This record gives sequence, structure tokens and C-alpha cells, in this order.
Amino acid sequence: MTEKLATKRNPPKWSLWLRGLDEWLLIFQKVSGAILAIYLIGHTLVISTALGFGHPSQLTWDRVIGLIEGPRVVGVAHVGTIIEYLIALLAAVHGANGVRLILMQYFGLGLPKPERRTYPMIPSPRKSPQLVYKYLVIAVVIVFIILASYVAFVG
Amino acid sequence: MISMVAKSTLMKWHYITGLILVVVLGIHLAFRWPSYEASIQWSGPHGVYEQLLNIGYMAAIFILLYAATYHAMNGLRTLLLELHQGRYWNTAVNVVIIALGIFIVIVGTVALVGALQVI
Repeated sequence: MTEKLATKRNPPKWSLWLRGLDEWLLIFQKVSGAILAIYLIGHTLVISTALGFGHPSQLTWDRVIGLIEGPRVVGVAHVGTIIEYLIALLAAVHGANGVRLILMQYFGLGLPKPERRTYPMIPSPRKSPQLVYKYLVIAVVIVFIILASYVAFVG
Repeated sequence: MISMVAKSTLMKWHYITGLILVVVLGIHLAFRWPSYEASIQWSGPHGVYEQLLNIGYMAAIFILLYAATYHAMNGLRTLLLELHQGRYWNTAVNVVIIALGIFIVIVGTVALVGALQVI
């Protein structure tokens, strides 16, 4: 009689996905993409309504945009300005991180070459080409925040 | 319906439209310079009327509408198919996504073409 081997089933764990920056960036890319897709639908409908669905006039534009922008909150910025600022920021991070993912996943740029495993092992996401990508994403986003903050709150 | 197109082709266009969007969305956001509030007023040197008269900017807006719709709808489709799988679910997702995409493109095109003809 053969003994049934006791096997323990290991269910997938969240910690497997949420253990590093790369996993977080991938999750961010998907969540921000969903938010931006929903925003695109709303933005297209609002601007099309403001343009009178092909019959534009200043009266229609002012009425619809005035309604959407809402009351003034900080300096020259309205409620709508702050929402647009946050959406633009989300789009900037999504775009910068998206270009990083395209260069890596589609063109294979910056991927490490196969090598012998020797101590101390450095995980591939922490190797220099991929770190450079992430620093570039951070730099692009910082420049965008400075320009967008000026346009939204000062200009 | 959507299975007539290879998944790799859909994703290749997802990446291509992503790169196009970096350029055209950059142009769209650059037209908010130097003041967001001034750029959403109807009149004025940076106002909406002036933007509608700028043919180069309007060409970028048309490309933005089509590229963003494809990119967003394919992204949503991928996300929904990763969350759950099933024969009816997959068909429902594809049908809803295609219908939504066509709706956005038609609404946006009608508004933009009409605005160009009047102005």
C-alpha cells in the first residue's frame, strides 16, 4: 500500500506581489490607468457639451465650464483646477512609468544579461540600468510638478 | 469579435499609442501655459477660441482623441480580463469596451468637427 504523501498547498500570497518597488509600480500603472480611462470618458463628454456638440458658442462654454470648475478655493484656482492638476499629475507619472515599462518590456532595453550567480547577489530590479530608469521617472515627475504647480496656482 | 485580432497586435498598438500620447498629451498640457485659468476662458490670447483656430493644435487634439480612446479602452479591457475570466465575461467585456470606445470617438469627433466648421 502506498502512503499518500502529505503535501501542503501554499496559496498565493499578497506578499509575493507586494514585495518591491517594481511590483508597486506595476500595480500603480494599472490603477492609475483605470482612473485616467474613466476621466477620459468624463472629460470628452464635458468638453463636447461645452462645445455644444458641434455648435460652439461662448455662452454654452462659459455656462458648462463655470459649472464644472466650481467655486474658487486657493488664489486663482477653482475646485476643477485642483482636480485637473491631480489628474495631470497622475497622467505624468503614468506616462513616465509607462515609457519605462515599454523600453524594458517591449524593447528589452536595460535588462541585465544572464550571469553566474555569485555572492552577494543583486536582484535585477536593483541593477544600474533599471535604477537609472526609475531615477529618470522621478526627475521627469519633479519637473512636471514644478511646471504644473506654476500653471495651476500662480500663472 | 476582438478575437479576430491577435492579442500581441492589440498590445503592440497599446505601446505605440502610449508613445504617441506622450507627445500629443504633452502638446495638450503645454497649451495650458502660462495660466490654466486663462487657457479655459473662451476669449483671450491663450483662450479656447484661439486654440480652435490653431490647426496644428487641433490636429494634435484629433490624434489625442483617437490614441487616448484606443489606449484607455484596451487598458481597461486588459485590466478587466485579468480580474476575472470566463466565456461570457470575456465576450461582455469586449462588447462593452468596443461600444464605449465607439461612443467616445463619435461624441468627440462630432464636437471637434462641428467646432472647426463653425469657427
